[in-house]
Amino acid sequence: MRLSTLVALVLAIGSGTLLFRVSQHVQSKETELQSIKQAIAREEESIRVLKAEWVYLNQPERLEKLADKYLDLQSPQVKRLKYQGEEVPEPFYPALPKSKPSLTPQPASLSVSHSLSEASSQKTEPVTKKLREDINFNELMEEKR
Amino acid sequence: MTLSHPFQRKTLKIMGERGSTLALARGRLVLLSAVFSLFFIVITIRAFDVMVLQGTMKASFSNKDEQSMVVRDKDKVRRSDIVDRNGVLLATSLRVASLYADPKLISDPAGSAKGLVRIFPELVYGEVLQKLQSEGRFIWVRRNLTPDEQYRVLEIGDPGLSFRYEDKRIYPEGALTSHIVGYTDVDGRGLGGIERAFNNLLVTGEEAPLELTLDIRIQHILRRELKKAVSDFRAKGGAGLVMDVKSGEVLASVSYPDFDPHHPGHAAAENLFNRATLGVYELGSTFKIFSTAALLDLKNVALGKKFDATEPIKYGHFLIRDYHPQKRKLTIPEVFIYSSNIGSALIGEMIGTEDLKKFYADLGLLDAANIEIGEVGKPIVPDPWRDINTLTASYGHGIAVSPLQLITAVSTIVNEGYFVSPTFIKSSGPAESVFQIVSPETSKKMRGLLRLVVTEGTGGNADVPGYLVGGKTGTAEKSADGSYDRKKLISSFIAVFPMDAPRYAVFVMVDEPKGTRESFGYATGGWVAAPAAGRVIASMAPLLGMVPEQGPIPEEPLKRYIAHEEEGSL
Repeated sequence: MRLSTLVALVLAIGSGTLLFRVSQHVQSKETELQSIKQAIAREEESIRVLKAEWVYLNQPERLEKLADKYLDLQSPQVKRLKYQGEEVPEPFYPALPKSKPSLTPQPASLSVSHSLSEASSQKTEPVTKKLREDINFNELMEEKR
Repeated sequence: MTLSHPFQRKTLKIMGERGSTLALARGRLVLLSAVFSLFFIVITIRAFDVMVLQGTMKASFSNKDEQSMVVRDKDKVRRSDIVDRNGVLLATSLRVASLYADPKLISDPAGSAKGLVRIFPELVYGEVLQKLQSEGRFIWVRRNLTPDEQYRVLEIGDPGLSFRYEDKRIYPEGALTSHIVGYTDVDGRGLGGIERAFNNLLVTGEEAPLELTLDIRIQHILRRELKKAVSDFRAKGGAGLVMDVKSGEVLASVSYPDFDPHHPGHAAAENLFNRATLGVYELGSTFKIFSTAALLDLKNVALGKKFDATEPIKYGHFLIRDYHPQKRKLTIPEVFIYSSNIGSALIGEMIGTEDLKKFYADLGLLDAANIEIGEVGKPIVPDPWRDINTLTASYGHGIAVSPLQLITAVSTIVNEGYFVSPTFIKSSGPAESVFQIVSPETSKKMRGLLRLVVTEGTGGNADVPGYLVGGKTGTAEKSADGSYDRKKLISSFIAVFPMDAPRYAVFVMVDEPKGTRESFGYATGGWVAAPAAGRVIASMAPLLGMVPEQGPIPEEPLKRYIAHEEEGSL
């Protein structure tokens, strides 16, 4: 009888401690959950902002302006559309070597003049390409801002 | 003495004088230990309080702002997004921070004011400082900050500067779709266009966005060309529409000048006005499409039937004249391609008042267009409709409709005669029309006639090789105070392509264009609107993956009805 009281006392204290620990644990997990939820909400919000910004930066009018400024590309013209494979002229790559580079590197100008003459013989009009160096990257960045 | 209790064994009971001294000592011990126990309990409770209760409080306190964002999420739904047919965002709601100050908590008013002025150059230092030093606990510094601005304000690090989060409607495409998508007020209530028409749906915060039929790329092409036409011809404004002739889906709808939907209050009333759907205009010769279709459909006449366009028609005090006088008898295709008002008036006379009226009503030209947005103009129809009105209405005078009604009715004519109803909302299934307004044969003849206008007639500037563009020019004088002003024109062009199997209709209208050197001083539909429509088609057709091809030529069988100049009048 007296011994059982002692055991009960020990059990009560033990379970109390356990309960305390578990509730502590739950509370800290809840705090963690809350902060994760907040982080998700924050991320979702910034995804929305980024989506809107993406569309804003891709406004057709703006893209058209930038393409005019930095690219030698034009919108497709009906008379330039070809639907037969053989009608399409050979692609024109000014700076790329035609074959696998040999051990002794060829000067780049050689391959340019070679394909230029080839292109002119096929009566295509090669598009004059601005070199990448011509692009003013500072200006580009400013535009982005 | 019993030995029943284990502690009792050691208990000694001393009686007598010494006994009472011991009892006293014991009493003191009990009291002392009780006091100590009490202290321990107090300390334990306090420790629990500090560790557990205040610990969580502190964690949440530091995230007060974010928590308020989460809480707002729960109690207030976010207005749904609006996207175009390809899923490009047209309107979205973003949670934006608004900066307020609690002057009581501001630690360094001068330093903070300096920092704020650096971030927002339009704020005045003196005013900001005055705000930060004022009495009270709450004062707005600036509403609707960008995330970058908010970050820089946080860098100032003054505890008195805080944020409140509000929903703000953002239109990433800006003015491009302003008239159709519309705009909202500061509380997020739709005030125009789709935003107003679908306000009840949008406020429910439906996750899936509202899909429109607009294609932002075509919208841009149309706006670009319309803008160019308006500025080239120093016009007051213009309107344009692109419609899928089978489903009635509006791919692009532009009214120029337009406005920034973020600040509709700053825009002039004229810019807010949607010319494409709300404005009604006498559109002139484009109506010959309908009178000619009525004649072919209702009266069994051959295309070779001739109408005498030698002399202008006098009817009461009306005088019906031609812009491009041929001064001879014209066949139906000739009346159409040379846009003869006299011929069309005679056609109208032959159809008869009742039949023409009924035909126009069937095409939806006599009632306001049935479309989702609220900005829909009611046509101005002659009332009472006399016989003279039949004559003028057959070439588009004395009856005013909105551009939307016109393009819809033309779509009906070329779509094998099946009634087309316009829509701005993308539906899942294909729209099926069951109402046949004109017969497929009439539709085929009309397609040939429309193509003929471009190859032989007034619409040559709209041609795009390979796409079989057909169309009709329209030039109307604006009426002011009951009389027509010959200097003020509404020049328009309705194009349909490709003519062998029509897919899209394009309408361009320019308000009060003035002739230029390039157009040889002309400000008519053929010189102002037709080239713009041609450029729109040339840009949009490759974009939609349409292959230019030389198919069967729909106008070929009709060519024999046209007398060429060198052959003389037939």
